[in-house]
Amino acid sequence: MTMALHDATRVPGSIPASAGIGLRAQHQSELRNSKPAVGWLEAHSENYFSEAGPHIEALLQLREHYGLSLHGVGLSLGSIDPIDHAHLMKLKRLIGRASPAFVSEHLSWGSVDGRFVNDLLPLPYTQESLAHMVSRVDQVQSALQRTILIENISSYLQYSHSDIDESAFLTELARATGCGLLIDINNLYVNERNHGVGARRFIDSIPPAVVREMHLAGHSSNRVDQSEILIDTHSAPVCEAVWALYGHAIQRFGALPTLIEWDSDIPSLDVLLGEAHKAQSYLGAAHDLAA
Amino acid sequence: MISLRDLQRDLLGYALGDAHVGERPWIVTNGLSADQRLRIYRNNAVVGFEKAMQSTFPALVRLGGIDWFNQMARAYQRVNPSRSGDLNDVGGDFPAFLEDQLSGGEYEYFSDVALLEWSYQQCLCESAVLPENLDRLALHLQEDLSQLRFQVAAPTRAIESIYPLFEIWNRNRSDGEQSGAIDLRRTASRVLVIRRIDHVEVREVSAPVFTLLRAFAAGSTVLEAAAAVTETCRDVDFSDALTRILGLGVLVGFKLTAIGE
Repeated sequence: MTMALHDATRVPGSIPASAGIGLRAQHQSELRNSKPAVGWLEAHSENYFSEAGPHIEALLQLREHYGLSLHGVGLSLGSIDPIDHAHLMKLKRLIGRASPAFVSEHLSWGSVDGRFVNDLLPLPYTQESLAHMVSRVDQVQSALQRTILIENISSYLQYSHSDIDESAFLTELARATGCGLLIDINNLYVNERNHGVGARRFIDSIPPAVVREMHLAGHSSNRVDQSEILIDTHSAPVCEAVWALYGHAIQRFGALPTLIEWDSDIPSLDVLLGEAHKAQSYLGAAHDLAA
Repeated sequence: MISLRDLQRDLLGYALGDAHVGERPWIVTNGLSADQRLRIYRNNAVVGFEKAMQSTFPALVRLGGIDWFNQMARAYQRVNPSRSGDLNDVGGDFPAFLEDQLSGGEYEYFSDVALLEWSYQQCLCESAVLPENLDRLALHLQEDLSQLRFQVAAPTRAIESIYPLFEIWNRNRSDGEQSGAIDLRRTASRVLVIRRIDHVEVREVSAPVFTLLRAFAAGSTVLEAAAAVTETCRDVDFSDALTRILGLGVLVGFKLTAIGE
């Protein structure tokens, strides 16, 4: 199992089509010391914007050993505010320092009039939003001089004036801008439970060629009055239903770099690696089938 | 149909607590009201902000307790919402906010602790500047030294408090041991936060050293700095203070010319 993590087929950009884990401050030291067999690491871009300090130093050192993806949460791509040029330049500088294989952001917004909620809020899926997102992704890709990946988000509300399927919205965004897609399987599951949006139908309607990466995570279940709502907390193991959906996504998209995200109530590195090994077994089965 | 601009202004206003609860026909209810759905985002905005603040101000969390701290963080967010997509940027005005809230009260020293913690975080994210070998100065001892100015490494912060700030911080930082009470009537504290190559050092210094260093950082000549020290500190041994500053390793250069030359 552990050998397969490093022997896995490499996709363009030097990240193997294997399971990776999110780089979190709690694990930096252990990762640097023990360098466990895991396919690659994903780092939240904003946590490494600083010129110096223990976090950026750890990232650059780990970068020598692992493939890297930078995952942004703060660019507020869908906002009607102008793109924060300083933020974008910090990202560009980080990309220059860390040479990530992938740079990703979200199909979301989180700021307006200069105020931020630092969360991923959903856009209405309309022609107005699509044109806006196309323009924004174009701006970012032009500034960074590279393509980025856009991730589908989980949401707790839908808009009555949305008139485009989320999958069609993302597909058109990828076609119009040349960006790739990062499909978060847990987010699909959360949205299916919260809104009745068919997760398998979503997967089946996305062209495999534009999908470059997948995310897996845990969520929590909350009750509001008599209704249950799932919250994308990244605070628990991946649930069985999401694993099943992941298997379906692999059948559709093939074996792709897959990240285990765990951002709250962060467990020991061993637990995280255990989840990555489980994802790897799904990817290994896909490799075997392909062979 | 609501425009994207109006929708975003309304939702963000709600999430930050400044928009009213009301009808929003453009949100699909589907078992939950628009208000119930939006409350999830408001909660996310608050909790994310609280966590970011807790991470920057761990000693304050220990001092005030998590409930008090979160209450202050929420109040601070209402008047100083995040202005950045990077949550690591929040908290810069928190010391001044606490000063406004707590001035004159039992806990007014909390604002000094907040300033120290914010300085620490800022320093941590800056590169260390290696001190210059000041032996080179010996070559100029025959020249006019009246315009001699020392340059202080940029990632150095100087904080003065009427409370024993260093001891309060040191006892309450996240990896420190909390034991015994601190007599807040004890002497004032002058603290330097210094970026070293592989860590941030926080240390207490004497009043003459503090005054001298702050004068250097402000661009004063050595003569001007000496005058400032003599003015504020009685019975000062200037030579001793200067020697101690040289030992701190925070002087990164010197100039022998007047400003502008």
